Amino acid sequence: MPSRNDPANSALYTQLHRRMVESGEWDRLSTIFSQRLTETGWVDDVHHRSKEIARSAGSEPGKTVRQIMTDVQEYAEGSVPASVRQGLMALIRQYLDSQIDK
Amino acid sequence: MQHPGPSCTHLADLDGEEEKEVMLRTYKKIVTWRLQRVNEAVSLGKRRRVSSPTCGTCGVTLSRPFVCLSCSYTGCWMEGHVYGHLRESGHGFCVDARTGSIFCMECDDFVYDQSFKNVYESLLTNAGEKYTTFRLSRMTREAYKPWIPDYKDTGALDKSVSLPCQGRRGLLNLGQTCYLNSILQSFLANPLLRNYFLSDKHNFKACKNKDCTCCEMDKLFSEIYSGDSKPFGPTSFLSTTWRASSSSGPASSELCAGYAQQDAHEFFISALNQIHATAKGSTKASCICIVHTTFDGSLHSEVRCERCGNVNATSDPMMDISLEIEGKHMGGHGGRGDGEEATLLSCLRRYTHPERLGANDYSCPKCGKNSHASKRLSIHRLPPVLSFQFKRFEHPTSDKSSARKIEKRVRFPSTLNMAEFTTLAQRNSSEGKVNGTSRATYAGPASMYEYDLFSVVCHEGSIDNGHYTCFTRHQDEWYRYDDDKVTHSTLGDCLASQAYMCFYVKRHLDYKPYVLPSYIQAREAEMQKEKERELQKMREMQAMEREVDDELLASI
Ligand SMILES: [Zn+2]
Ligand SMILES: [Zn+2]
Ligand SMILES: [Zn+2]
Ligand SMILES: [Zn+2]
Ligand SMILES: [Zn+2]
Ligand SMILES: [Zn+2]
Repeated sequence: MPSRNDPANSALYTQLHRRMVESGEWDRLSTIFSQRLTETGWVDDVHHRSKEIARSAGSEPGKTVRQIMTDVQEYAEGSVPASVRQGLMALIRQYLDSQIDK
Repeated sequence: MQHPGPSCTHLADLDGEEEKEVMLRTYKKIVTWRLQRVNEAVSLGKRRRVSSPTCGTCGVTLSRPFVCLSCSYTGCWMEGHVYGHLRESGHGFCVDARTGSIFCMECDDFVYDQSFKNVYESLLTNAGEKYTTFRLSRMTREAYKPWIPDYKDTGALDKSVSLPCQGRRGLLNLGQTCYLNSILQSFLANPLLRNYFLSDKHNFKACKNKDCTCCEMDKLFSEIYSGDSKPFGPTSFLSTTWRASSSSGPASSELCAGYAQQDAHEFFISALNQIHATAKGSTKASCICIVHTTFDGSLHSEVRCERCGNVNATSDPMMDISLEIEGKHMGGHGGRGDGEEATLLSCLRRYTHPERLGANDYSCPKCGKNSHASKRLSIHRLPPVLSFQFKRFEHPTSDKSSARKIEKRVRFPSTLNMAEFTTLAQRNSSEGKVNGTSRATYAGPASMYEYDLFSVVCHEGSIDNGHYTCFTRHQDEWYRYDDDKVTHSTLGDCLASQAYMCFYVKRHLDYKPYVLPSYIQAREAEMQKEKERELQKMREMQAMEREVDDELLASI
């Protein structure tokens, strides 16, 4: 997968990303994405894990949101159901195709 | 509501200072901008290009800006740029524009502060009002007025005894009564029922009803919130339910006859009927009793005749929604067939999907012929508390031995948005298809449709040897009730359970101008009359005394 940190891609990424955000497409896709993640149980699962991480750390001094995010990030990214991931990729591709025509 | 965590002393120390006022004003601007953007983007349909802030460090366009509350820096969270800004500039706080959450640099965490929370809540309410227009009246919603206690309220509050805000007690099994215990635990966790009974709206000491289930609820709440944590035996609840149902006709007496294991959902419905029947202000139609104000919604049904196109629409009250787990026609629409996992949402989609009726199943009132027709259900009015039943028990014939249980897992979420299942969304969506607008299923701000899970009743084991248990939530903690045993549980365990019923409460309750209920009006009018009668009597007495005095004076 080409990295967006690669300077050659990063300019293109920045431009496309801006277009997606400003046209409202980004918000539309994230809404769909988060609905799918809620329905498949991913949101509740990550919520549950984060909460249990916080609980097991106790309250003194406890874990900060930033620490919990670091702890849970790998699991969260890895557990996105394949069907949701593919569905979102298809929608992004559709959008990109529609932009190339213009 | 209390904030769920320790508050930040850095923000608290600024209370009353000009610096905090400035930050609150900035905060208000940012949240308003975000709410406006979200609601206008969807409600206007046709999207237009809106310029968005970029990260002050990496330059990326921000779909979720974090804004410094001291200067106008905007930055991204994921790459750590807003964090870097706070660290380098010494500025103390930033806000997540999407959620309104505040991050404190010194706490190195997201923090809760009452003044910011109040601003956020009121902006959310205002946005809700502003972006809801009713189709028929084209009017905007009633403005929210926060409750400010008057001298009478304050007096009452001063006199009242404070109780702990949570009560948890196991309920003893009185001989296969786990169905009853589980439903009672779901009632006890229901915030609307709790507020009603704990605020003494139906005092069992003052009530004169016979076999009063409302009184039993009142006693139950008193027991659970008594501070005693020993398991409690709901014997008087059980016997009252028994007597009440055996006196109210054969259908319901059958229900509670004998000690056989009962169905939790049947008990739920009969308990609601009994509470309604004994509640104050209960009426036959558009009842405002505690049961109806809590659970009552309305279901809209449209039948379209395929012969003449006539649409026959009806609305019916609904106390709960019973959902099929397995569709009759599998693999039908949208490719969501057998293979896909069952979820509450997929069941609801099937429930509100058009269904084709057979040629002999429908007789059209317009063309007067039997015809194929398509029938579609939707939710016309959402209740404050939404109850779902998953139909796990099938009775193909009247013979009891033919009954079977569907063990299939149904996934249900801890938060639920009901917008797409409403009549309004269905109409907008079919209009959208006709005239090609992307208004799609927009039916007002999301805050009007959001629900939070607060209780689940589970059925474990086989149909004739099963056991009911219950999960309930207090704030963000889950507890599991297995008759007399209460254990601290987790969200994960609750969501993995074999749910038979799920209960959700609306996150933002509806409101309307306050009207004194008619039964209270009648009572107060009666009290007023009584007072006047007494005054009249006193006046007559005084007049008589004066007459006597006058006579006495005259005789001197
Ligand atoms: Zn950045
Ligand atoms: Zn700053
Ligand atoms: Zn702080
Ligand atoms: Zn009573
Ligand atoms: Zn009622
Ligand atoms: Zn017809």
